[in-house]
Order: sequence, then C-alpha cells, then structure tokens
Amino acid sequence: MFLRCPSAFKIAFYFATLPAFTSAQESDIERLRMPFSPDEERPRVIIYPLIDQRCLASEKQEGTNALPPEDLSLWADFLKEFSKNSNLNISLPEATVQSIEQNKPNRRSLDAIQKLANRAYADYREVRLEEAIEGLRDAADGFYAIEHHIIAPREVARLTLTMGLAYLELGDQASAASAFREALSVDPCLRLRAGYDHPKAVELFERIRSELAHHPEEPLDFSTRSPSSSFLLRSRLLPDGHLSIVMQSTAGVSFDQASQKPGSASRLASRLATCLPFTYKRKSQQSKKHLYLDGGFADFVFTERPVEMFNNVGIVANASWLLDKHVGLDLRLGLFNSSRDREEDLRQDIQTFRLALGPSFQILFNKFRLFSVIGLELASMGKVITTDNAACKYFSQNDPIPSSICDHDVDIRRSEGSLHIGASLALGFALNIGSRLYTGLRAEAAWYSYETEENALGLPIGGQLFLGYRVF
Amino acid sequence: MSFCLLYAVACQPEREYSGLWQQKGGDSAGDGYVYELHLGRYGDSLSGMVVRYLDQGEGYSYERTSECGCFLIEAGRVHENHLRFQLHRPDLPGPTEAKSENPACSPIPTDLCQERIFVLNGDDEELTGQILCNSDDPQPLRVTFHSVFGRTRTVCIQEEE
Repeated sequence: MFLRCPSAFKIAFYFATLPAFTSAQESDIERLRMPFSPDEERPRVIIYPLIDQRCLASEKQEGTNALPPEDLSLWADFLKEFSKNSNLNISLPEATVQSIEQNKPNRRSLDAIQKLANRAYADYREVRLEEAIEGLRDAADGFYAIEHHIIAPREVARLTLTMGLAYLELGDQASAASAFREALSVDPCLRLRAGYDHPKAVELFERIRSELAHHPEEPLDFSTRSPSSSFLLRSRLLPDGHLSIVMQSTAGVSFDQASQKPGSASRLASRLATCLPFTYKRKSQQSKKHLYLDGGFADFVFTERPVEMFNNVGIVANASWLLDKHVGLDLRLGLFNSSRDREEDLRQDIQTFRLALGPSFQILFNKFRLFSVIGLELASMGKVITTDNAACKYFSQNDPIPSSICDHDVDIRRSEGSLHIGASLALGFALNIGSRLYTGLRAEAAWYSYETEENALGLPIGGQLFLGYRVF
Repeated sequence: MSFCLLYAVACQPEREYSGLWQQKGGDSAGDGYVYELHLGRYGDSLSGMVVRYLDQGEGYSYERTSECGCFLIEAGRVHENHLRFQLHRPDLPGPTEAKSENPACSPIPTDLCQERIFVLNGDDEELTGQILCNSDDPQPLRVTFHSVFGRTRTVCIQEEE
C-alpha cells in the first residue's frame, strides 16, 4: 500500500504554503541548505510510540512489546530518515510520551479516571455487570481523552478486556468481541489465561486475536487528540514485519507501509515528507497589519444645549489602520445636519463637520472585533439661532408686531459658526460577514475643551451603523 | 444608538393644532362676530393671530369685506389637548380692510371685558370651548372652531394675491 496524500491535504497545503512556494524557485533539497526566513514556520509532526503487533501471532502473553528493541531496526531506520527533514518540527516518540506525561490537566484528570476505573472493577467483582460496563466504558474513554493508553497501554487494555468479560457474562457476545478487539488494539500482547479465565472467554478472545493477526490492516478505531494544526503520526509493526504508518491532520488521514527490504524505511520517510508542507507562512506575520475602511449612517445629540434635545443625522467614514494585533490608528469623518427640537426653539438647522483621530485598541473573538478609540476631535458647527418666544417663531422680523410681543433683537440669540476641539471616545464592535466585508455599531462621545465661539452646544453622544471592507 | 433612534421619535417638533381654524358663518356666540384663528404651536407654547369678522350668515362671513378687527395672540399655552391664549390689547384691534370704519367693528370695551381669553379643547377636526372676559367670567361665550384648509396670516392687512 502506498501513501496517497488526500486531495484535501494538497489543497490545504498549497494555500498554507503558497507564499513560501512562490517566493522561491529552488528545490526542497536546496532550500534545506538555506537558513529559514523569520516569517517561515516549520510544520509540527508528532510521532507516537510504535505499537508492536507482532505478538498478535503468538498465543503466549508477552510484555507490551513482542520483541526486544534491537529487533525494531525498521522503525529505527524510519525515525532516523524522517528526522533528517530539518524543515519539520518533529516530536519523537520519547518526547511525545514526555509531553503527555507532563501535561498538567492530564495529570489532574488521571486520578479521577483511575478512581472511576477502580469503582467499575469493584462493580465487576460484585457482579453488578451493567454498572461495571458503564463505568469501564467511561474510564476507557477518559483514558483515551488524556492519551493515557500511550503511557500505560496495559492498564487501559485491561479495562476494555474486563468490559468484554462483563459483556460475555451478560450473554452479549458481539459487544464482548468488540471490547476484546479494542483491548488488543491498545495492547496487542495482552492475553487471557487458559485455566484461570472462563474457557468461553478465552476461546472468543483467541478468535479475535487470530482475526487481528491475519488482518493487520484493520485501523485503530479509538479516537485520541484532535490533530489541530499538527500532523499526528501513528505507527504499528504488523505481524508480518511491515511497518504501517497512519498520518492524521485537519486535512484528512493517509496510510502507508514499509517492508523489511533494504531502503524501504527510507523511502517511506521520503514519501511522508513529500506529503507535508515545506514551511508555513507565520500567521502572526500574515495578520499583523490591516487597513479597515467603512462608512455608514450616524446620529448624535448634544447633551449640553440651550434648547430641548434634537438629533443630528449624517453620514460618516472611518479608516482604521491596525499596526499590531491589538493597536492601531483610527480616523473618523462625519457630516451632519440637525433636526429641530420639540418646541422648535432652534430656528435653523445646524450643519456640523466632525473629524476625530486617535489610537485604537481592539480584541478579536472569532468573527467579532471589539474596539475602542481614544483621541482628539475637531468639530466645525454652523450658525446657532435660538429663541423661546413663541411669537418670535410665528412672526418674521418684517411683520409689524409690537416689541412687547416679540423683539427679534432681544428675544432671539445668535451665534456664528464655530470650531470646537476636545477629546473623543468611541466604543464598538464589528462582525465579519465575508472574508473582507464587515458590519457593526460604534458608539461615540466627545468633550470639547476649546471653542472659538460660545454656542452652548457640547458633549455630543451618538452612534453609527456601518458597513466596511478590509483592504489588506 | 438605540437611545438616539428612540429619541428621534420623541424629539420631533410638536405642531398639532397649528393652522387655520374658523367658526361656522351664522354660528356667532351672541356678540355678532365670528372668529378665525391663525395658530402656530411650538411644543407647549402657542402664538398666532385672531381675526374677527362680522357674522353675515353661513357662506358669507369670511369675506375680506367682513373683516372687523385683528388681534395678536399672547400667553398661549398647550397642554395635551387643552389650549389657552388671550388677545393682545383687545381694546385696540389692528387695522383691517374696508369695514374697519364700520361702527360695528368697535374695540372691545375694557370696562365690560378686560381681557379676551380663549379656553379650548381640541381634537383632529374641532376646537370647542369658551371665550371669557376674565378668568371668572360667569357668562362665557361658547364657541366651536373647525379646521379649514388655507394659509395662516402673520399680518392684519394682507396684500392682494
């Protein structure tokens, strides 16, 4: 059987490595001689310890390995050849085991799972078979989740073996066979003892062992860790002496084998390496700088004003230049026109132009981007004309009315156009609705500390609804 | 943003009852006149003019030649559907058209009627209420005004259109 990279593997690798491939014309051998670029990341390959299935051919119980380590030359040759791929970040079996053992969450879970297993064994001894099966199943799944079957295969295999015995006592031969198969997949050298264990159990177990010995291609059917961004490499030494490799990644699963012939392990190592990406472009480098451009509709009110509240509706444009993962520079422009207050004390629409500039801070959550901007705002406002005299609103300046009813020079207050400068604050979120498109809401406020003309308007508070595009 | 959107509805100009209102011709409350209200409402306050006509009977009253005094509104207030205002200088009606010399178009005598206060309740089509000479007037004139289509006036003597 030869390794075939799944098509999903190839597509994923192509896009993941596109910048690296296109930036160099050299062969992989030539590239290996060159130093890595700082923005290149080596693919991570985690190699699990070998499962030696040669003892499936023997009725006799052995240790967890069928033969001494010096008889594992095929495996050793493969590791040696595969390790020559310096473009890969390889975790060798010893390091993988060490990493599992030192995983603190795993260690915390181990005690609880072992207690669960002990309770299940007690249930089995006291012939509470259904409770025992449930407990043994949970314990086995727990051990798989923390990869304890890699550290202590015999301990985990004994669990499923006992589960098989419990099924058999309940008369469920199919489930018992499945449990025995699982036990032998974890520890191929595990055996029941003739003369000690029940003859029917020994007979069924031996039948399963014999089946597995003759059909070594059967894949391991228990799940372990998710491949995430790493490549997981699981190996078995089959009863006929072939080395079988299963490689897992998010892109798929591939199988390959090496025979005992000279050079076979080396060729297997080469085929696997060819199937892997040479390097990745570092994600942090890819996503470091972005330019976001958006525009939309906005509305704000002046919380400091000489009349009742009125709206200022307008259009806005924003540019956010993200310099780092969390920090950037933000520029906002807005053009607004006021409505009138309820009593129409405001006698003329006010045109306002607002410009804000400042550093922005953002956090990303999947499709969401939360951001805040603290900066400087410059606002230009048009004439402000107000009166609280109803007659001055009804009659124009040219109408012949007595000054006791309305004196336009006294009862109407006017201020000319003015410039205002102060601090601004914006908070908001954006939701990605495509690879580059996004939409969101932004709330903003400003406090003016300097103005060229007193017009009694200040502390604008408002919001925006925007649609944007990430340029890069 | 939601605050502003909600407020956008609440802070719109409040103009209900603004416009032109007339009594029906022949519907004089007993003083021989019918009144035409030119109202401008601004939230809780009210302004405008009241034009007085000789009651010539249904269909004839609101001719220019029947104009018989023009008054500015002062102290106008609106609370929900209640309107209250009074005439500025009821003893000194503004100039009107030809009939201004009509002896019937006399100023409202202040010794008999110191003020001229309109207290009305409104709905979409009608303003009903009383005209009082003072706030304790025991014999108010009962009036009903109907909303009519037309432009409100801001001067007593209109230029010819």
